[in-house]
Amino acid sequence: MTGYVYEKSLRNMKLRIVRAPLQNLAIKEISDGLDMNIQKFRAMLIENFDMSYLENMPARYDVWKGDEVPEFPDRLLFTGFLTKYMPIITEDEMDLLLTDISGKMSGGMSEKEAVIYGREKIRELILK
Amino acid sequence: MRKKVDVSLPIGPVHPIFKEPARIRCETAGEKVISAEIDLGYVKKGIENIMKGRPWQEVMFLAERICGICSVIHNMVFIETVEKISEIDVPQRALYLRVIVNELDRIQSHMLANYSYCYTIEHETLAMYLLNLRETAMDLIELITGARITCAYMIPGGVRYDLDDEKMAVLRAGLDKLEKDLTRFDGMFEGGSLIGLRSRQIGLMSEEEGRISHAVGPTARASGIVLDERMNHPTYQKLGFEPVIRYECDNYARIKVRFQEIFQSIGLVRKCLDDMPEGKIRGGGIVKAGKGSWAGEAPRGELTYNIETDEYGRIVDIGIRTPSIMNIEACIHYMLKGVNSAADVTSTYISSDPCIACNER
Repeated sequence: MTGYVYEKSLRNMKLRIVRAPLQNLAIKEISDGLDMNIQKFRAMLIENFDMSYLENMPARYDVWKGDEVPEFPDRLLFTGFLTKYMPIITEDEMDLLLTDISGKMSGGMSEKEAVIYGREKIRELILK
Repeated sequence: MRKKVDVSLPIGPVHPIFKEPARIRCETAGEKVISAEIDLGYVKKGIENIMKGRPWQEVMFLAERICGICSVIHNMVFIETVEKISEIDVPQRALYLRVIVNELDRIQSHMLANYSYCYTIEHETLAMYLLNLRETAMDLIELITGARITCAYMIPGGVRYDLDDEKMAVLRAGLDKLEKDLTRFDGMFEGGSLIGLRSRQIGLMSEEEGRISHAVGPTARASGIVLDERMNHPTYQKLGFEPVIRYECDNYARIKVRFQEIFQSIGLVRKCLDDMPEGKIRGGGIVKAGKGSWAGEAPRGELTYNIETDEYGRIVDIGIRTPSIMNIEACIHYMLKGVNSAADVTSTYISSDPCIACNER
């Protein structure tokens, strides 16, 4: 009995949480915003976060949406959300990526291309 | 020299201090907590799914069964959401009666929370005093609504029972007793050296951390966050409501905010009794098809109902966001981090007034 209580796999419960209406809405918006497969994003959340984080994710997402941040790169690349609100990517990794993007933009890359490039790199960081 | 060992310390799911099951896993260095996680799901009800497809008359009773401690606010927010969708007006007298019952519910909930905290830090005398005094608040709820817990007092367009002069006099006497006794207990809490030792500078959560995790209710207000749904409620605005805010950010502040809010609630009930308008307690109205969202201030913080109804008054879809979802998360990931003793883990957890019944709705 002790083994069952302590070692029970929580994946099913977590899956139910991330598929709840509010969670589903937030996850869909984020994965669409990053051009990412929603199932892979859900799987990453289930592997890396505990149940209370997953329950509270829509509230954290709402707070981030209420923040006054510039559209590029913060809003389009979800930078603050992925580092501060849901710590999926470390601050250092995000800083490196943003430095890389600004370097490429000063070398002639347009903002649209930078967003596509940034999202690709963020997908790699999320799924690494 | 003693070898320092890093330990994964499990607390729960069954623990003498926990009122409801949850399992906290603390990663510790010695006794210092480095990080913590929580596993839930031991008492999942799935009540939102049970509500779907049922008429509002049934869902009204289900809503207050989400939580046995703050059942009144579940009833109130559900009914207010339905009223908002269906544009149902409520008589002024009924609005004041709703505030009275809601504030009495807050008083008993805060007393239970502070009882749990005092019990956790081994101050059983004060704990039992508070639990005993809570009965006065419960009796006053019963006096008005006819029930202690699942009252179903509020209905679309009004409330079930009126408050006559005799009951008002009993209510005022009860409030006087609550205020007198609680002043003494609040003084005991404030001056207790053991309490100070176990509560001050323990379980710290900064304003920024509270904001990021969207902590709500007394948990947020003890960290200096000005957040109280009563500020947006028309009846409370009429009563000149101002939230209680403290800035210590620790266990002590969270308990003190609740004590202060009980005094504030007593004041609000008295003001309602003084200014009580004459007239009907029930208006008319039919529940219509529509979609809406409404939030109210539960004893633990912001409670939001998202409801969709059809033309027959059935609940097509419902989503409930309870305050404990935010507060438990904030507690586990911020307050417990850096706690120096395993004994402080339980007291810090209880100071956030976690409600697993709400969380596992």
